[in-house]
Amino acid sequence: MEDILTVSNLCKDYPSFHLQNVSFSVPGGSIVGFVGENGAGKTTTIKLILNEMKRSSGSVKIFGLDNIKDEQKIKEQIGVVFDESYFHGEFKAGDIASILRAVFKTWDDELFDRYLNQFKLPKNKTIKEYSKGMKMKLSIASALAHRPRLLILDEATSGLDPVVRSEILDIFLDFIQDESHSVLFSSHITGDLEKVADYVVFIHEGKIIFDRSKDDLIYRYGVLKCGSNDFQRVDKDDLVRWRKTDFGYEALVTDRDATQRKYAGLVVDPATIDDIMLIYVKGGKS
Amino acid sequence: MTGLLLKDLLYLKKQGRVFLLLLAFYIIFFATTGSGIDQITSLLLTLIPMIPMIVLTNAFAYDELSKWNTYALTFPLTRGKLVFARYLLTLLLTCIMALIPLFANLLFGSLSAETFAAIYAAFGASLLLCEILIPLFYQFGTQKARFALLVIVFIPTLGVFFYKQLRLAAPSSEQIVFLLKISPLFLLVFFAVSYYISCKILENKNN
Repeated sequence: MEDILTVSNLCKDYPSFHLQNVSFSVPGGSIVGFVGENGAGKTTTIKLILNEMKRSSGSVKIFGLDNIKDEQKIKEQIGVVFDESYFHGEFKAGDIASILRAVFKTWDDELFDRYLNQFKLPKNKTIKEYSKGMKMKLSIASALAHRPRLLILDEATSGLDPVVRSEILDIFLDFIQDESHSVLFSSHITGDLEKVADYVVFIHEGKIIFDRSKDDLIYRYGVLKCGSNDFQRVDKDDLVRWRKTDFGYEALVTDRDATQRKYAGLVVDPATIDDIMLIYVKGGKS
Repeated sequence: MTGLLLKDLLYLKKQGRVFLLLLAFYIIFFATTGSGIDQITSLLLTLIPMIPMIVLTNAFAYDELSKWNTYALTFPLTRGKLVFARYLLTLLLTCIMALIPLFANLLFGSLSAETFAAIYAAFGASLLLCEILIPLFYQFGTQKARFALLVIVFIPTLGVFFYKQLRLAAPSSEQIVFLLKISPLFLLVFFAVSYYISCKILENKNN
């Protein structure tokens, strides 16, 4: 599968924060979950991808084109949804269509109307009368109605109830049925990513910790749980990271089955993305 | 860029009723109190710079409130076009506001050279003020830039005050005609400088 987005050694220096050599790719027909705690560098990376801020070094290729040199050409084919609606509260859905029709060459009124109906968004109400979920659905409808090839979502499902989130996730799954489409989905709601993501990129303190297939993480990674005495017997080379809890130790392992075989008496649970993030962020190697 | 201008005009359409009612109220007030076209023209002259400045301030304030620029930067448009749309809005509004007294005077057959010069001077002043305001709005945001607006509006008053204090001679009609003749070039240069500064500010934001 051809990569739709390739980020290579992207760096951005702030006085108190450094994005360091961020590299990952988004293959065609896939959803890539971009996870990390608040302030880890997700939004900075997305803004650099969109050329909304100047990078210190590195490169970004989208559809094989440079994101700065070919910015206009690329942005015709990208749909972006942020964590909140950026439309004026006085506008109605029809006003948004009028504006975006003049912005995007490929704007499709029929498709926009179809999304409005599907999302049950009233056309006669102003945006300020919409609920948070409705505003987010309008943002998604607006991002999809110019038929983009790449959808970039920055915390787009945060603050939404599970029913709305599930509806939105279905839209994303439907979107990537076309192999030339992809989604980069930044979120700290890891449950959403477990449902739809094909790959997970984890960023922590401005550095990419891993870029793995979700199935790899869910089916191979594990959390070894044991008391202090048992923990002393465990070979630390078998562990990625660990942390001390009230009940003993929790350690992350990359091969659950192998660990279970080696330490037969100990509990090795499947790891969720939440577990992995937590042990990476809160745990250590000593 | 049409989309950006359209967005501002759509917003203006929603707010426009208030301005139209205000305008209608003043015209009816002046007309019913026996004021002539000269008084109405004086009123309309003050509105030429006032309305574009109010609309511009509101447009920037609304954009800030909804973080529109972050969203607009995802469009297939250059930052230059994003900025240019605001200057276009200013020009459009100032033209509309200047055309109202012009047509009113034409209708009443009272368009003298002095009235035309006064309308043109108000038109130029409006553009000049907006060209000062736009970079300030981009740099400081509407909350802080509003204080700058007070200073800007105070500058001409201060100028007139010192002019009177220094007991300088009034400019001759030749000097006024000369100033009027070179003013389009001055406005154009001022626009270019203001536009360049605004573009640079937007370029360096978040960097």
